[in-house]
Amino acid sequence: MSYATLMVHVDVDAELSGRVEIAADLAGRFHAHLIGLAGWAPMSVFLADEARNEPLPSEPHLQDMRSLLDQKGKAFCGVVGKMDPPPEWRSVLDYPTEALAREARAADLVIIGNAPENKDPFRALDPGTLLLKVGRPVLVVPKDLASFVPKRIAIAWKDTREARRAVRDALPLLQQAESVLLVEISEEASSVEESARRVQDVGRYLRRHGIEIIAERVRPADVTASNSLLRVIEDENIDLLVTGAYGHSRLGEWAFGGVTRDMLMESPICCLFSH
Amino acid sequence: MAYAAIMVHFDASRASHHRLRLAADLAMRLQAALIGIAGRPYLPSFLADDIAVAADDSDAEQRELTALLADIGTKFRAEAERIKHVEWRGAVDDVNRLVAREARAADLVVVGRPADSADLYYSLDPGVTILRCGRPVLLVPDGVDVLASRRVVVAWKDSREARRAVQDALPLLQQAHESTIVEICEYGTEAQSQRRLEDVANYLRRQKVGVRATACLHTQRPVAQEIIRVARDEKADLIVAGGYGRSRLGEWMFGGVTRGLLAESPLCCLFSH
Repeated sequence: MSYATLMVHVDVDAELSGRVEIAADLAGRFHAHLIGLAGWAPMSVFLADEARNEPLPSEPHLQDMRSLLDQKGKAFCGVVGKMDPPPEWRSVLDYPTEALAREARAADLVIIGNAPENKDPFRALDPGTLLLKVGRPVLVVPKDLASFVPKRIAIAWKDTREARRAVRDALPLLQQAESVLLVEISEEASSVEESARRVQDVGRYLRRHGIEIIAERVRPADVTASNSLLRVIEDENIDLLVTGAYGHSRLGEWAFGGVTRDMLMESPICCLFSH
Repeated sequence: MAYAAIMVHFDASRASHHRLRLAADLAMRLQAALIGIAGRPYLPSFLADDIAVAADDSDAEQRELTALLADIGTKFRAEAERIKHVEWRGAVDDVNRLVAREARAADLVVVGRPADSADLYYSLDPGVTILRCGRPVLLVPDGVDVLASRRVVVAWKDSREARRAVQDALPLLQQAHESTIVEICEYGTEAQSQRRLEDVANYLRRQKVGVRATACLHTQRPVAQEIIRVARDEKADLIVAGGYGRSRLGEWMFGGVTRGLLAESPLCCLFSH
């Protein structure tokens, strides 16, 4: 079993980025069907008193939105070119985060960017909210990345529901990798042995899925766990990081900082998140 | 994303013998490893002012628990004899915590309903397992010892959990001859519902799942009962559903589909959260 359908988010406000090409590449590698999706929710331009009395956007405005979305669709088809199976375009007059989460019912893997052009929820995707709602693994592609060949994959392991999810969700990518590094960042020196035992257990799980080239590692935390992961990425020349998302609540991450938030903002490489 | 390892909760009760037979059969068919698991917590003799006071013979008690678990493990191995890769994990630990944690080693976790007479401290709570383990959970009703899964009913709802469940159930859906996707919808929303169902059906077809029909239904009855009725009409032996789309507390207060299926389904149910 593998990924049969991939879905990539296309921004309303930006030029099509390398992300779409990366998605098309990946779809080719898995012989998967590719779906492009853009969402844009209609709103009254000013939320002043008179606008509240007239909440429905006028028809010409909707037509403008539709024609811009159609242009995005054409640009998408232009970038991905001829594919087998042929690509599909979906545009939705709705909040992009909501629309993508819902339409992900059609896909095995969702591909998004890490840095929205703006924070307007009517036009821009909120990666954090999407991770929580989508119920699919999400591949986050850094803004300026032009190509993505996941030869060396690292799994940031932690004994949480989300990490268990991520490992299983990433199997098709792990099975194509040249090497897999399983790493648990141990926050307490005393628990190193237990960490090692857990990581070995995950290694055995992966071997049962035919993944052979596995290195298992326990690393002490630097200043933060995110720092340690960024170091691992650099030292080991990693192409893809697989990790659980929001094992703490998102509010907790916002208050205390957290690995998901840090990696969304700072990772120089693609990350696959599951929640 | 096939099932390479199946974990089954086995505590040597009658129901768990049936469950083990079902899990072993599934492991054979899918060529998966079978992992048996049981946990028994070591409980302090009494609690005084929040301080656990252990009895003097605590070592003896620990040894007794370990021996009990080893004995259950022997029974497990005897029944799982014909499986190529078998593993036993018995631990002196809270069983709910243990199963959630060790689920890292498996693709599917097979559990039963706690017996009515079961001791709260010893029995596995399927609801907790669904919420915490991060794997699909197969609930096997007492007495059921085989899952042919020739016909499957998918209970669809546009939620994170249902999206999870459909993807998680793929290995079983691919083995099924036919599956039917149903959504319970309100009057006036049939067209949108049908569009969603068709989208899910296409997703499944791309994963080589045979989809027989999609249907949006109206019902006055509790949704869980309606889903069970459809599954019976279809002669299905498996229901696939999202688990706890609402919080568990919300389900407890207002009733809920997961709770209804957990309590009442006479058929196996696969839940994902």
